[in-house]
Amino acid sequence: MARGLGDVLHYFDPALGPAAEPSSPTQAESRPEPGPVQLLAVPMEAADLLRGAIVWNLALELGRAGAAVEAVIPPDAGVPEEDATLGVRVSGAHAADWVRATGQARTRLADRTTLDAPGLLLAGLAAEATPAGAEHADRALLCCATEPVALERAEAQGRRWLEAGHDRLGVVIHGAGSVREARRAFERLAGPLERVAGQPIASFGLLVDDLALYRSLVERRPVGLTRPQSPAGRALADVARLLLAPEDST
Amino acid sequence: MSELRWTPPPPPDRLRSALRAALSRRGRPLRVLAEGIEGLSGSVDWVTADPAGRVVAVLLTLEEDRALELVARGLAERDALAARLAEWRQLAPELGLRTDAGVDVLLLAPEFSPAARAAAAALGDAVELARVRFAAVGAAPAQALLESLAEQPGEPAVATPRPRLSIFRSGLRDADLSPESRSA
Repeated sequence: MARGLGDVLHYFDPALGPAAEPSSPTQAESRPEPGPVQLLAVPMEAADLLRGAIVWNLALELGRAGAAVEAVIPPDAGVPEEDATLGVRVSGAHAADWVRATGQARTRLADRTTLDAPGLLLAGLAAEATPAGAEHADRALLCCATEPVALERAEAQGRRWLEAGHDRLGVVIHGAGSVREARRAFERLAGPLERVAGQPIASFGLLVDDLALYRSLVERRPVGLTRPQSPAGRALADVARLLLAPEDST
Repeated sequence: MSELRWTPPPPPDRLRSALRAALSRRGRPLRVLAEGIEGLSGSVDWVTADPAGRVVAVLLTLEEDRALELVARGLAERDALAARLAEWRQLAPELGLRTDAGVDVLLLAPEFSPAARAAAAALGDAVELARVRFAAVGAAPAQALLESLAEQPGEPAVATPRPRLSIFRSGLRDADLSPESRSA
C-alpha cells in the first residue's frame, strides 16, 4: 500500500508521528494535563471549493507548524478525507452531522494537546448549520475576498452569527493584491460588524493567489509543502502564525 | 467676527505643541509616547500610539522639497522601531502597546510631490501621508491642521468609517506577495 509523507515522518521525528499508545500505566500517568481545543467554524457556501482549499491548506500549514490540528469539511467542498499528512486528520461532515463530527474530532484532539500546545479544529460550516456552529464553536472565521460583493456576503454571514448569539468573529482576507487592499477590505467588513458585536473583530491576516490554493487542492499537493516560499505559501504561514498566537495578542 | 486665516508655521516650541494637539484630534487619535527620539536617520519627531495600542511613528518636515526623503526615512525608521516594540512592551506594559502589528508611519509635510506620493503608494500600507497647514483665528495662536492623503485620487471613497477597535493584522509586506521575492 502506498504511504504518504505523514506515514513516515515519525521515523525522523517521533513528535511528528501519530500519538503512541501508552505502554505502561506509568507512561499513561505521566502524560501532561490536556490543553484546550479551539473550534474555529468557517462559514461556507454550497460546493465551496475555494474555502475548502483554504481550510485544507491552513490545517496542513498549522500541522507543519507543529500544532495539533484536525479539519472537518463539508463533502461537497472537494477536500480529500485523509489521515493524515503531517498528522492532520481531515474528515467530511454534512451540515446535519456537523455537531457529532466536530465533537469526535475535538475528543481526538484533546488527547494530543497540552496546556502549552492547545489544539485547533477547523470546521467548514454550511449556512443552515449556523445555529449549531454558534452554539459549539469558539469563533467564527470569515474567509472573505476583497470585492464589494464578497464583503457584503461576508457581512451577512457575520450578522447571522451575531444574531445567533455568537459574538466572537475573526476574519481572513483572501485574494488580495496588496497588504493595503487587504487592510481596507478588513476595515470595511469589521466596521459594521464591530458596531453590532460591541467588541473587536479579530484579524487573522491575508491570503493571496486563490488560484494556487485551488490548484493545490485539485492536485492534492498542499502549498505549504510544495511551494512554501511562494507568495501563497508565505501568506499561509503568516495566517497560521496568527491563529496560533496567544489570545491576548488578538 | 475674526476670520480664519492661514499662517506660516509658528516658532519651534509652539509648532510642536500645535502638532501634538493636532495628532490627538485626528479621526484615529494618536497619543504621544515620546518626542524627538534618536532614530537611524536623525530624530523621530514623535512615537505615538492609537487607541488600539498600535504604534505610529510620526516624522515631520516643513520643507516641501524634502518630502521624498521623508518617505525613505519613514520606511527606515519603521523597521528600526518595530524591532524595539517587544522591549517597550516589557518596559512599560501599562501602555498597552501591540507588538504583533508592527509600526505605522505618518509623514507630515506642507505638500508631497507626485514622486513622494508614488513612493509612499508603492510601499503599500507602510506609510500614510498628511499635509500639514497652520491657521489662526484673530490673534489666537496658530493651530495645526492635518489633511490625510490616504485616499488616492480616483479611488472610491470608503463608505464605512474605519472600525475603532478592530485592528487588521499581518506580518506580510507587499514585497512578500511578489513572486520575484525570495526572502522568507
